[in-house]
Parts: sequence; structure tokens; C-alpha cells
Amino acid sequence: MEIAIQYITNALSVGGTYALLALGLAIVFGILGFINFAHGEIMTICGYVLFYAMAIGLPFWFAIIIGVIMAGVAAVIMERIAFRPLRGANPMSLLIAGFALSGALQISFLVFLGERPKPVPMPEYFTGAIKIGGIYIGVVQVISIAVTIVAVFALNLFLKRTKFGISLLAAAEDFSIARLMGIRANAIFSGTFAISGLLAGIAGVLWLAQRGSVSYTMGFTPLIKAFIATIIGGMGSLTGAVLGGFLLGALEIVFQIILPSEQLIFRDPIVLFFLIAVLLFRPGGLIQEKKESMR
Amino acid sequence: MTININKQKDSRRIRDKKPDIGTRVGESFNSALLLLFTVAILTVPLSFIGATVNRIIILIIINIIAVVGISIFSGNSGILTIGHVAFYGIGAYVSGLLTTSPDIKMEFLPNLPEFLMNLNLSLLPAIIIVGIISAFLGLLTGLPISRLRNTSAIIATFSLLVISHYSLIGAKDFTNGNKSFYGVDQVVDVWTALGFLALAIGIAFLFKQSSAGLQLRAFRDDEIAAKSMGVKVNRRLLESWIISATVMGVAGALFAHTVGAFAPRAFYFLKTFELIAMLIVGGIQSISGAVCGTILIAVLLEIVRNIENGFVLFGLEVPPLWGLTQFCLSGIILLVLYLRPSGLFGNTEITLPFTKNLWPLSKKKVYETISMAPVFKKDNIGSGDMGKCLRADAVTKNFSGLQALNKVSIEVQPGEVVGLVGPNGAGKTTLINIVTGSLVLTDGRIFIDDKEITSWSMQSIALAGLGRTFQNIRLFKELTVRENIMVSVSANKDHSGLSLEKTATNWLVEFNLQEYAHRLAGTIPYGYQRELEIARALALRPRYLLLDEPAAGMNRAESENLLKLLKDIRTRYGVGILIVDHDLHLIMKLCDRVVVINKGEVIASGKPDEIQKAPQVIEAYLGTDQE
Repeated sequence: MEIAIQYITNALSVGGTYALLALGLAIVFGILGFINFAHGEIMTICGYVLFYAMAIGLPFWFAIIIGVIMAGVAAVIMERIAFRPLRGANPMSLLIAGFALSGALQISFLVFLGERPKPVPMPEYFTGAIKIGGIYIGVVQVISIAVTIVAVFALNLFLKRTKFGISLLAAAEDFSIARLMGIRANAIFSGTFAISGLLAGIAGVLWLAQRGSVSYTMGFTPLIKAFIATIIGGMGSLTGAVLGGFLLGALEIVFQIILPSEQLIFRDPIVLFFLIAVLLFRPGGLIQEKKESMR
Repeated sequence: MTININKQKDSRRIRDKKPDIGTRVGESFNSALLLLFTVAILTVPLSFIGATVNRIIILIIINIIAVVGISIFSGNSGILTIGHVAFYGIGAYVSGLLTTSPDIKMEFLPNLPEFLMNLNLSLLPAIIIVGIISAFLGLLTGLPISRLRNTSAIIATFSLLVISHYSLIGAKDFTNGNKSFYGVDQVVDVWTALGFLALAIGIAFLFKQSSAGLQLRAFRDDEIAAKSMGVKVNRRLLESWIISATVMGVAGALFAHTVGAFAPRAFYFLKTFELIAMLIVGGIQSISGAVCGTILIAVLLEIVRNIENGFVLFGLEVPPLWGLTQFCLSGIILLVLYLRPSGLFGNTEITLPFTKNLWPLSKKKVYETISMAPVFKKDNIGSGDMGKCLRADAVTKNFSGLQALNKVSIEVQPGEVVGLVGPNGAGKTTLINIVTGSLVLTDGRIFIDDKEITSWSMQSIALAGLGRTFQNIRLFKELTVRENIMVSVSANKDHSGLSLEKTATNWLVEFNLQEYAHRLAGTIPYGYQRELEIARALALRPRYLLLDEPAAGMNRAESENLLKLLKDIRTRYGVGILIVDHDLHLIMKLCDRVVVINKGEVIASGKPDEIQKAPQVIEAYLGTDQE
């Protein structure tokens, strides 16, 4: 029983991280219509900022805030430099641009910040376990789950209750009409990327809390899985992205348990394969777009 | 704009002009030969310089094969694959396992199963086996991927790359894991590589020009229109995916037999970057682009690598060898996207004017048939059989609470023209979308002749005998006028023994569009585009034709011409026509019967003059019109 609950909290905390990443991808896709391939690098940037902020002696929580904010800023800059010149191009061009950007960023990290992973020390109370109802659960897991819930809830509030959030939703519904209604396109682009960057930053912090070090490829593997989570969830559907993220986390933990340790390298391939197999039966993802296929 | 479908005049005109209707095969043959020749000229002399250069040259040729392989899928479908390096890697490992001598395999793969351990094939049989395995893997992966579109599809291909990468590392007993697989015979020379390049280019051109390739390119331009012309899109995607996976696998095998030793990281992110840059620089839609782009990038990369080595010599702090390379590749990709998104070649292939006769089969026969009058027999298309008709039976459609259609029934006999009119929002478009299969109805049934086609797919409905045009013209803009027609001719299969080109050309003559045959469909005048769309629908040889606002955007003179054309089509082909339009003048003059719907219900049905007098119609439609 205790082990089962520990596994479930593991699955939820890992899944939550994927969910936040997938959410960042889905919000850009839902509003702007393309996938930001360099999304994982935003997560990496957050990790490096965190590392250097702590290296110069800033307190942990302050470093986290700076890291997450910088992730948002990095995303906005990314949009300005790489994607804005291509606005209006087809989604595939934008995806390739992100792909190229991702490669360039990874190489920059590698060349300028070094190849070896940089350890980000977590405070001691992070690494312990707490006792809930007689069962020990890792603090990191609990915090991850809590942060995911809070982030998703806050995003929901922001989108539904603030003026800017509502205009983002309107843009997701129909960008050109939203513009006609007086919503500024540039604001939408920057705002969307800022939110997506913040989400990636939070995901980056959670990832670091679970892994403990940042390297130039930190964002790469989780991103691939977040990609798949967004497709599985249904492209552009926010609920779907969260769902896909948690499904992914669950699958990962399941295979972590059933695979013998020397076969663990096959965990990611099997999970991805499983998810692609889902697409065979539901090409549109779990949450299908409500719009009828009509022109 | 003139519409003249007088056969006599047309055939005379064709004879006078002797239009060039060069065959697809002929043109492609020229391009293929020219490309191969270029590559050979550039590579063979260099291969004599020395062993190092020779190897570089061979690797460049193999890269060309790989990029051409990718373009078989991506070029025709317009869906970029960033996962094909998976097949390349697997091809390399499989051929390594099949050919390396047992003694060497014993050294680093002691746990290999007996039969693999003892295998010691030569290059050719190994490559054949690699081809078969790649095709099979292509089928397996293609099944889900061929059902995806756009971004989802690209991302799914990417996950293939990750799957294969970790699998190669994980399958230690077969691959030596992260460590090198070595001892593969380095038996590929320049000529072998060129031979396989010839094969790859040949396959690429053949596929591009085959009906399957043509249909796939139609899909790339407009999926809905392609489906409405009966194109089985997913199957076409799967086919091209399998072929391109096979070429990729073989390229991987050649790579293995050139370098001799490799590890999984050779088949991952960087390789993908390299191949995509090569593909994009030349232009994803063009085989010539794939070849030339690869050469360009390959030369550039060699220079970059040398610069990096130079830094080593001066003892400066050196980034790992692949750093600058990837940086350059990223830069090049971004630059191409910003400056010239369609690449150097766009969607054209290189050709030389004086090489037109290289293809050994002469074109004489083509001229002979072209001067023949078009070959349509009334009984081929419209049967005139009274029991048969296109029928929508009590169709109801609800959009989450809103009832768009309420028990609407409509019937079109062969040879009859039925007009469907009604104010905006009456449900006309909904009805059309349901009949053609792009919307699923809530209740009711649809028949073509005696066949029930309710909730069939768009392509099945098209093939069952319903052609259509679109409110906003949906031509395959990147295809030529003739290719547009060829798409529906090819989907239909039955074209009385004539080649696709000939049948299509006959249709163009029929519509007097032959002088535009080789123009891109998106570039001809608006009125002609409308006609081409009708011609394309008829080339499917449908028994019923559905025209969605054909007169939209036409002035009076143009719509008069359209009227003549449609009347003629009806009498000559005997098709039943269902026409939706706001041009009441056209509708009243053309139609045998008019059905008026309003707020999702049929409010009147009958002869045009009766309809015009019906009070409920005047109230609902004409009445508001006169206000």
C-alpha cells in the first residue's frame, strides 16, 4: 500500500512536470498555431539562471523566482528574434525555425557554459520525506504536485478572469476576428510566449528539484515527451495537454517499475511507442477539437 | 473569356498549334539524367585525389541518396519528416550485422544469437535484406503517422528518432550499445555509390510522376479538394513513407560500408540537422533541390570542419568538433526560412531544352491522339435510367443545439439540373457538406443511385460518382492545369486505355483550356480557374455534379458564359447537376427544378417559374431581396 502510494505520487509529480511543459506548448499552438521546438531550451535557460543565481549567493527562493521570470523573458525574446520575422509563414516553417533555434541554443550552452552538468543544490528540507497518514512521501514530490496544481489553477484564473487572458482566449478562437476587435497582435504574441515561458520555467525548477543538475541538453528529452503529450492530448487543447502530461508520467513510472534495471534504457522508447500506438486509434488525440471539419 | 466547346474548331486549333504535351516520363528522365551527370562530373574526378577525399566524396553521394529518400515523402506530401535518420541508423546496423565477419563480431558482440553471428553476407544481398526490413519498419511506423497531419505528423516522426536512438543504445547485444560498432567491410566505392544514387533518383522521379505521387502532391496543395477527387490520402502517405524509409535504410547500409565503424550518436540530432538543412536549402518540393542542396551544404560543412581543425592547430580553446557545425547548420536553416522559404529550386526541376528527346520512346503517338476529338459517350456517364438518382432523404443536422437542417429531402435525376437556393444561413452549405461527406449528419440517409453512402468518407463518395466544385475555388495551385485534371483522372482509374496525360489533355481541349496546360493552376485567370474546377470534377466521370456557387464573383457576361457551359455539360454528359448559387438569373434559366430552403427546411420545390410565384418563397427569399 505504502509503495503503491509512493509510486502514485511519483507518477503525479513527474506527470505534473510534463503537464506544465505540454501546457506551455499547447498554449502557443492553440493561440498562434505552431509548435515551439525550442521550448525545452527555455527550461534549460531557467536551470542555468537558477544555478548562477545560487552560485553568486542569492537565496534559494529568490533564485527560483528570478529563474522563472528569466524563462518568461527568454521566451519573449525568442519570439521577437526568431519567430516574429516568420509571422504568417506556414506552421512547418515555424517548427523548423524552432528546431534550428533549439540546436543553436544547445550548442551555445555547450560552448559557453560547458559540457558537464552543473549541480543545483536543493535545500535540505527538499530532499526529506514527510509523513502523511502514516505513509512517508518525498517532499519534492509533494511540492511538485502542489506547484502543478497551483500553476494550472492560476493559468485557468488568468485566462478566464483577466482582460488580457480573455483576449488570449479570443485570439485562440479566431485570431483575425480578435484583431478586428482591437486586440493588438504583438501583445498576443508576446503575452502567449511569456506565459508559455513562465510555465516552462516552473517545469524547469520542478525538473531540477527531481534531478538536481542542469546540463545543456536538460530540456531536450522532457520536451520530446511533452510534444507527444500535446499530440496525445489533442493539439492545442489545454485540458488535453495536462491530461497527456499525466498519462505520460503514469506510463513512465509503470515501465520504470516493470522493466528490469538493465533494460531501463528502453523505458523512453517503449513509452513513446505506446503513445504513438494510441495515435493509431485516435489520430486527433484524446480531446478532439470541438469544431466540425467544415470550411 | 470565351467558352467554346466546338469539337471541330478545337481539334483544328490543336493541330495548328502542335502543343507540346511532353510526357511526364520524358521530362523526368531528362532531369534525372542531368542530375546524375552533374553529380558524377563533380565527384568522380575528385575521387582520384586520395583516400580521404575519396571517402568524403562517397559520403556526400550517400547523403544525397538519403536526402532524396526523405524528399520522396516530404517533397510530395509537404510533411517534413525529422525522424528518417532512424531508418538510416537501423539500416547501418542491420547491414553491419549481416556482413561483418564472425571473428570480428565475436570480439565485441559475444552475446549475438548464433545465426546472426555466423552470417557473413556480401554487400548486395545485405542491402536487399536491409531494404526489406526498412520497408517493413516503414509500414509499421507509417500506419499511425499516415493518419496524422501537419505539426502532429512532424512531431510524431521526431519521436521515431528518439525511439530508435535509445533502442540502438539499449540493444547492447546487437549494437555494442553506446560504444562503436566496428569492423564493417569498407567496400563501397564511388561507382557503387553513384549506382545507388541513380537508383534513388530514378525511384524519386518515378514516384513523383506516378499517379500516387501526383495524388500526394494534390493532397499537399489541398487535402479537401484531393479527397473530393477520390484521392485516398492516407494510403498515398503510407506508400510514400514506406518507399522513402526503404531508400533511407539502404543509404544507411551504404554509410556503414563506407565508414566501417559507427556509434548510435552518428544517427541522431546532428545528422538530422544536416539532412534537413540539405533538404531545405534546395527546396523541399524538388528532387533537383535535394541533390543540389546536399552538395552545397556538404561542401560548406567540409570548409567549416577545416576551420575548426585550424583552431586546434593554433592551440586556442577548442569547442568540441561538432559545435560550430551545428551552429552553422542552424544558421543556414534559419537564413533559408527568412529569405527563401521554398528553397533554391522552389518546386521546379532542372531541365535543359535540348535534352527533350533523350527518352528513347518517341512522342509521336502523343500527337496522333491529341488531334482526335475528345472521347466521351453520353452513356458512359449519365445513364438516363429513371430509377437512379442522387438522393438525400430526410437529412437532419444539429450543431450542438442549433438545428441547421430539419428533414431536408432532395433528389437529382441523371441529366437533370436542380437548383438549391435560400437566404444566407438557410443550410445550403451544410447540406452540401453532408452530401459530399465532409460533415456527418445527425439523422437521415443519402443515396447515389441504389447505393447508400450515408457517412461514407469524402473520397469514397467521390468515387461512387459525385463530383464537386467549391465555393472558394480549391484548385491544386502548385500543380499545372493539366496535372489538376490528371489527379481526378488517375483516381478514377477507368480512362479507356489512354494515358493520364492524353485523357487530361482531351479534357482540356474539351474546355478549351489546352493553351494553359502547363501553367500552374493558381496563375490562370479567375474565370478559367472556375472552369478548370468544373473540368476537374467532370474528369472523375461522375454521374452527379455538385456545384457550390460557381457564379460567385462573376460579372453578367461571365455568368452568361457559365450558363452556356453548364447547359452544354448537362446535355453532353448526361450528368445530374445540383447547383447552389445566389445568382437567381442563372438558376432560373438553367434549372429544371428549384428547391428553396429556409431555416433548415424545404419551403418550396418545383419548376423555376412556379417557384418565382410561390408566396412563401417571395416572403422568405425574394421578398427580402426586393426590400
